[in-house]
Amino acid sequence: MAKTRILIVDDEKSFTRIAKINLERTGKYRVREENKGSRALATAQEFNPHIILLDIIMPDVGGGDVADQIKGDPKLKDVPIVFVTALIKKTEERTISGSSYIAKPVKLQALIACIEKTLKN
Amino acid sequence: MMTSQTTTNEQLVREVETLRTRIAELENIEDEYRTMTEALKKSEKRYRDLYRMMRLMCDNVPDFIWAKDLEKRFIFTNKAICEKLLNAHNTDEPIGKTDMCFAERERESHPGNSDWHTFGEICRDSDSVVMKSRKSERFDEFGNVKGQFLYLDVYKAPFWNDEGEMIGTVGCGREVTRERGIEEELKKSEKRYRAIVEDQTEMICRFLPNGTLTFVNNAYCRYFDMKQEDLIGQNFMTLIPEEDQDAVFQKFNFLTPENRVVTYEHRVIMPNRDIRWMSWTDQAIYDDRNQLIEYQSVGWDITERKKIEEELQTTKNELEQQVRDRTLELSLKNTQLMREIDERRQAQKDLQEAFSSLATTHEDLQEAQLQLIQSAKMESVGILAAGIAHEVKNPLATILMGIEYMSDLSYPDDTNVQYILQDMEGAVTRADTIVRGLLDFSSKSYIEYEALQLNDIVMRSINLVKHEMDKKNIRVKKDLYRNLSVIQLDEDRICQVFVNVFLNSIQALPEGGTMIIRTYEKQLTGNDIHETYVNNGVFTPGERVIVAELEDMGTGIPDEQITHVFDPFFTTKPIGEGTGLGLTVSRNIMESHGGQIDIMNREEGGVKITAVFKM
Repeated sequence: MAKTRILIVDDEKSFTRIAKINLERTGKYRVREENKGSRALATAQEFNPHIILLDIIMPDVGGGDVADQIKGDPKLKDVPIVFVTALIKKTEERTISGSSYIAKPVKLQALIACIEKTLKN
Repeated sequence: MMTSQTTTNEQLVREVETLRTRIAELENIEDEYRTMTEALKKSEKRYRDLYRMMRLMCDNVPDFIWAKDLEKRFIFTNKAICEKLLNAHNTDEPIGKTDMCFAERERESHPGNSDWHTFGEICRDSDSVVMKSRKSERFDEFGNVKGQFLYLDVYKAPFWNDEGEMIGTVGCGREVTRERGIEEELKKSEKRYRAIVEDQTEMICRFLPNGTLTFVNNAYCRYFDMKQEDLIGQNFMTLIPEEDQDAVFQKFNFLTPENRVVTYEHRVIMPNRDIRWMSWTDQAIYDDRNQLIEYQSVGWDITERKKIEEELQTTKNELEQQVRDRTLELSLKNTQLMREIDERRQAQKDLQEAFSSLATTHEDLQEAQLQLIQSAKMESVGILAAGIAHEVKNPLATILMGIEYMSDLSYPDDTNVQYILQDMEGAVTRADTIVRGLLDFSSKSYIEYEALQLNDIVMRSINLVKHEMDKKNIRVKKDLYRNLSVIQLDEDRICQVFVNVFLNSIQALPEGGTMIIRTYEKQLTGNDIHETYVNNGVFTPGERVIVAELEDMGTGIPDEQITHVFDPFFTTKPIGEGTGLGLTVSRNIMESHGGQIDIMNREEGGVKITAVFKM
């Protein structure tokens, strides 16, 4: 059975690495890390994920903009995005409305549950 | 023959008769002789007695008595002269000798001491003087006797016998050494005294009660440029200007035997008709019967002093005039100043009133400023909180993921690892709670109003903390007004407020106990606004409000801390038990509802938290 491809876009390298390890240990997922918002679209185009876990606040390009870029790509526009964020600002409310999001720090189980729920929808 | 016989017989008879008569005569003579002898014996005895008496008298008298013959040889000496002057062994020794004989003997006895006996050397030969003048005379005789100075007051007279012939001299003398010494001293003293008086620069004079001068010293003479003999006998009043004389006489009237001294000043006319000033101190002299005899007076020229005094008086007068002028000037200025002071007082009063009103305004402004500061603080804390939340939550996320990874591994050698990992996960959760509180605090604007009854939210909140209360054995007494009006509230937020205050009270009751939650409606009075609730301008008197009160019987909050309980991060709880944001968030929520939350210590202990909602 093919593994679900998850792209994690987050500038926090330590988080992406341990998240990748934890998720891949389940045996169900193949995870690609991307620590720069500016390279997220290119990585997504190349990796072609089933789902994207996207951080919102990043130093170069924020999660909101990345989401817009993804939604603007004809091949990627239907890839579901789960915002994984330490903070949701009022200005980002619009961007994330209608998307699922989960707050950091998140337990692995909750993250997986969120991923599965999102993929189902 | 016969005739011849007869004649013979007759002759014989006559002779017998004659013999008888002769015998009788002889017998008479014998009687007379006997009587005379007896009388002589008596007379001799009497003379002997008289001599002895005379001798005793002469020897007992302390004065010297002697007699000399024409050759100046002693024919009599008494005991005093023998002992004190001649140094003779007895009163008989000098008889037939001159006094020079004794003087030489004395000098020979002390050949090395020329001062041993000098008596008589420097005196004239008084014996010769008397014999020559044939009159009694008085002499001072002196000189050293036995090394001691002796002074004799001597009387000498010619010695006449019964026939009126001069047979020598008689003399008597008295020792007056001491008296002469005193006299000498007196003389010296008088001389000294005279020198003092005469050489005195002060003028000294004596005058009779009528003013006649009886003594003047040199200074007096010099001063008036007159001779002593011209002044004595003159009335000193003539030296005083006529118009001053009465005043001087008046001064003497003050003198009495008890009060003998008076000092006065007067002018005098100098020989060149100049007028000068003198000061005199008079002493009245009285006799034994207190009769005034004379005045003695000491005086000196005070013209210079008078001049200075006059100048001083002039200066003083000028100064007084200046002082009067200045006083008048000052008085005018003072009046002016008083007027100015009154004006200033009025101005000050006006200023005080203005200041008072300003103070009130200032207080209001301070209040407003405090609120502004608080708001600014909130805002900055909010911004800070968002940043902190982001920066903290990311590492927390990594740590949590890491812990989960490690929890799935097995550690057969060390059973503690799992416990440690659990503790670590708990720590992450606690840190996350704090950060979440910060986020709640900073996200003030999401309010979703619904028409709700406050009692429902209170009950929901109690349910949320019920577990904690049961654990601590805390009972809640509910006093909820059943017909509470429905108002616009954000259920979650208000619930958060109640949960926060319940949690606070729970922590204040570590040993368990009771807390009271009360809700009611009321119409506010001015009193409530100013005293019971913080007056932040939210409420006005007469306004109807819903009040929720929570009272606990816990430990209360120290007075100095109670004003800070709404400040962010303020907490009285031990580290790890509170974020210090619960009440801050609660107040923000209440304020965003247009309400107010306040806390105060109860007199009987514990605190009372009051939340007031607008209707």
